Amino acid sequence: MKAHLTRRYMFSASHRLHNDSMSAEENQSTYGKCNNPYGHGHNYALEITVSGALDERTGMVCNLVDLDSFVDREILQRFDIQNLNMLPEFTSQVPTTENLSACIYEIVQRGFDHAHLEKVRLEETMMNSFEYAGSEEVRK
Amino acid sequence: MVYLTRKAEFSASHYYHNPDFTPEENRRIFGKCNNPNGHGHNYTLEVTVKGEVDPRSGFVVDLKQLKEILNREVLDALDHRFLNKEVPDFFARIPTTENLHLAAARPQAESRTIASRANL
Repeated sequence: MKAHLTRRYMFSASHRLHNDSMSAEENQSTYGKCNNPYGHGHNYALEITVSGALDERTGMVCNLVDLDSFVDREILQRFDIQNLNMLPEFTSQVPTTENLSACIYEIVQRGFDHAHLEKVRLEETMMNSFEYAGSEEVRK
Repeated sequence: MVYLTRKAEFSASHYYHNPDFTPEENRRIFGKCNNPNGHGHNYTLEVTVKGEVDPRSGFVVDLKQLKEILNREVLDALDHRFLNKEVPDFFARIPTTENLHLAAARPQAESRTIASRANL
C-alpha cells in the first residue's frame, strides 16, 4: 500500500528581487517594492510531500526522524535566518519563491533517499504559495 | 512547471431558491439556506496558475497583474454583494458555492493576457 506524507517546516529569510542584467527602471517595473535595495524578509512555510510503500514492520512511509534531520541539515541550516541573495544558490538567479521552491526540490531530490519526493510547496505569505514537482505535474 | 496559488477573501450574502420548486421543495432541499432574506459568508478564494519560470525575472507570472485582475474581475463584482440580487451571474442561477466557482473562473479565462505564459 502506497501512502503520501507531508511534513511542514518554517524558516525565515530575506531577499531582494533584482536582476543585474536589467536596467534600474526595468528592475523597478518588474519587481516593484521587492526591488528595494535593502531587501525584505518572509517567514516561509515549507511543505515537503514524499510517498512510498508502507513498511510492513514499522507502518511508516519513512521515518520522520530521517526526514527531519535531512531537512534540518540541508534546508533549514542553509536558508534559515539568511539573506538569500548572499548564498551561492542565488549568485546567478533571482531568489524569487519560484526559484527557491525549485532549488529546495532539487536538494531533497538529490539527497533524500528514504522515500520518493512528490512535491515541494512553499508559502511566501499567507496569501501566496508555490508548488514544484520537478518534471512532474503537481496536479494530475 | 511551477504552480502559484494566490488567495483572496471576500464577503457576500446569498440564499438558495429555485422558482421551479414548490415552497415545500425549496425548504426541504435547501433548508435554512432558503431563508429569503439571505445570510452571509466570508469566502476564501484560491486561484492557481501554472507555467514555466521566466529565466530572466524568476517569475511564473506577474503577481501584481494577477492581483489586479482578481481585484477587478472577482472582488469588485462579489465583495459585499447580495449575490442573488446584485450579481447578474446569479439572477437565473442559484448562488451555491459550486456555481460561484464557475463565475469566478470565467472572467479569469477571458483575461488570459495576464498570462500569455501562465495557465489557470
